[in-house]
Amino acid sequence: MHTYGSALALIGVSVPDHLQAGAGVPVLQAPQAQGDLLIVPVADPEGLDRWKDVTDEGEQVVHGEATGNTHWLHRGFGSPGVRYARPGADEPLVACYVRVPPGQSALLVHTDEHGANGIGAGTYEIRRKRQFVRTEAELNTNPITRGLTGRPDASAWDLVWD
Amino acid sequence: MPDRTPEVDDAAFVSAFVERWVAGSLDVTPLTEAGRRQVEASLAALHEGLGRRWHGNVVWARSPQELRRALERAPALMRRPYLASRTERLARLTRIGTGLSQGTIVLGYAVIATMITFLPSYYIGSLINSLGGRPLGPGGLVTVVAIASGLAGLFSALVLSRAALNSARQVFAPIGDDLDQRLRPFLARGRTGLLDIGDPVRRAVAGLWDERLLEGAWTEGTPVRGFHRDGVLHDRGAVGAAHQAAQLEAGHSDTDPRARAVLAGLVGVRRALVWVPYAWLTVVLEPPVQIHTEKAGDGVRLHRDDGPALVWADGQAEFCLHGVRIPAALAAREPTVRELHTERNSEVRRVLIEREGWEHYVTRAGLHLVSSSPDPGNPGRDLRLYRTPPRVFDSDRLLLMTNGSPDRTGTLRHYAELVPGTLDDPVEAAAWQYGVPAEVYRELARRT
Repeated sequence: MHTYGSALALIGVSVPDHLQAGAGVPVLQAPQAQGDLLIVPVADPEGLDRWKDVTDEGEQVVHGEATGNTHWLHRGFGSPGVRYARPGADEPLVACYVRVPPGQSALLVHTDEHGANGIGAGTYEIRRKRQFVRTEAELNTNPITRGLTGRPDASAWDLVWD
Repeated sequence: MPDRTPEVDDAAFVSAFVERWVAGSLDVTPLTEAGRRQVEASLAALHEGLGRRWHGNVVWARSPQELRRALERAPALMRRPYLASRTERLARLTRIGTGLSQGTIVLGYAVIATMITFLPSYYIGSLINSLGGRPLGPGGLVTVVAIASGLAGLFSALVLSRAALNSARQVFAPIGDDLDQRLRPFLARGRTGLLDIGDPVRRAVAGLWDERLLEGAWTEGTPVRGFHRDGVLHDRGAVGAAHQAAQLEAGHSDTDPRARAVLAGLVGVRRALVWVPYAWLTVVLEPPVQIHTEKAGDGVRLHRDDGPALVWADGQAEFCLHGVRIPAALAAREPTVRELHTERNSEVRRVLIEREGWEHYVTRAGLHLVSSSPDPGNPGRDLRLYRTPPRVFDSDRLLLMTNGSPDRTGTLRHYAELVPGTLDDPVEAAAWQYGVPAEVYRELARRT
């Protein structure tokens, strides 16, 4: 089984002080979360023919430009058959799909605080988080009614609540 | 023919160059007199290289507030060394004096015009008198003369003021757009390679420059544009001089002397911070005394916890938290809940709340807890869903979560995010964030 030490060594990162290098990385088939990513087992996505092998260097699943941190996808021990695919534009929340053959495993490794997660046999989608954005209707673009209903012109009167 | 060499492709060279270039962007060496002369020489080389005449008029501003003041009253800059004279009272007196003297000149010319019109209009009046057959009374003749003379005086005053305005228009025509257009072909030269040093530089410094600096600038229609150390103020994607400078450093000197002069000008003017070109005048912002930044991902952004992130030579201080400018009044102390709720800018509100922590805010503001439930896969931690105060946040629901792993400082971070107001179950809210059904999120085995 991979440990934090061996998993982070794959991406050339030393184990942060607060994580135990010897701690094991359990290989699971259930849903798991790594920071803003969620690993969810799914039925084989249909019509997806762009599967690629995960190379020795690993695959960059998500790179946060603001934080500089990256979630990397790697193969587990003795797992040459791990493949991944990028979704089409109609699935904005899916960062990538992963397919792990029976008896093999994959690793999702984070370059900073989130350590590593082991992924067992099956097909998964790695989903990212979305932000809440107010829809246009709620934004109330008419300045007159916006003035009447408050946001974003919060006045002292609006603070009298509850 | 590709314009690259192995040196420019070398990753070590690129990262070292980018680091040096960004250090230059953050440089706070104060401008000495010699430095100012050098900036002027660079501006001259730049203008002439781009085919514009260099006017030699530079107004120096020590801080953004001075720059704004200078740009708002741009036409006043030409009359005298504007920023050198100080007190506001004196400035107002001088302005009134200038207005009076200029008004007197216009009035004087109008009076002369009136006098010149007087005699001909008298004759025209007499002509009407004799040709019309019906003699005008003495009062009628005086009226005709007065109207004609008055009209002539008004007309000449109008023409004179128009002429004065037009000359001001020519002097204060902003030429930033024009210079930018002329600069583009120079900066695009030799950018055929896969590796563009401009890209990492742009990513690194994108958060530093504030395009609001030119808001309120006096203009006659043409937008006022300014240049900063790495490009132009109004366009974050604009190509700066970094790539060309790297080419030069790698031994790829451009053979065109004009291109070389332009590039040298662009690099030389980096000793100043921002410059705003007009047809007959350039306003230059000098570098601040202090810049405090933090590394954030691929770039740097303005940040300081315990004081102003930017301090300027005239004493102006600006406060920034993680790249977000915050009002000085809220920076020094913990803002009250009321202040947080009346803050219009959601980014400002967010960084101020995050400085104290979301949990702290939730307690202090007394947010109503809608529901709480254990976080699946994160043993011992709860997901808590709160109702937000009306008209403060974009949504009625705020989900408070706890990280699965401690961060680098060893603390478990709490954080909160807005979720749709229709949700009342925290697990459902957490599942919504990832776009999965709540049942899937409930099966979560492990969170790191």
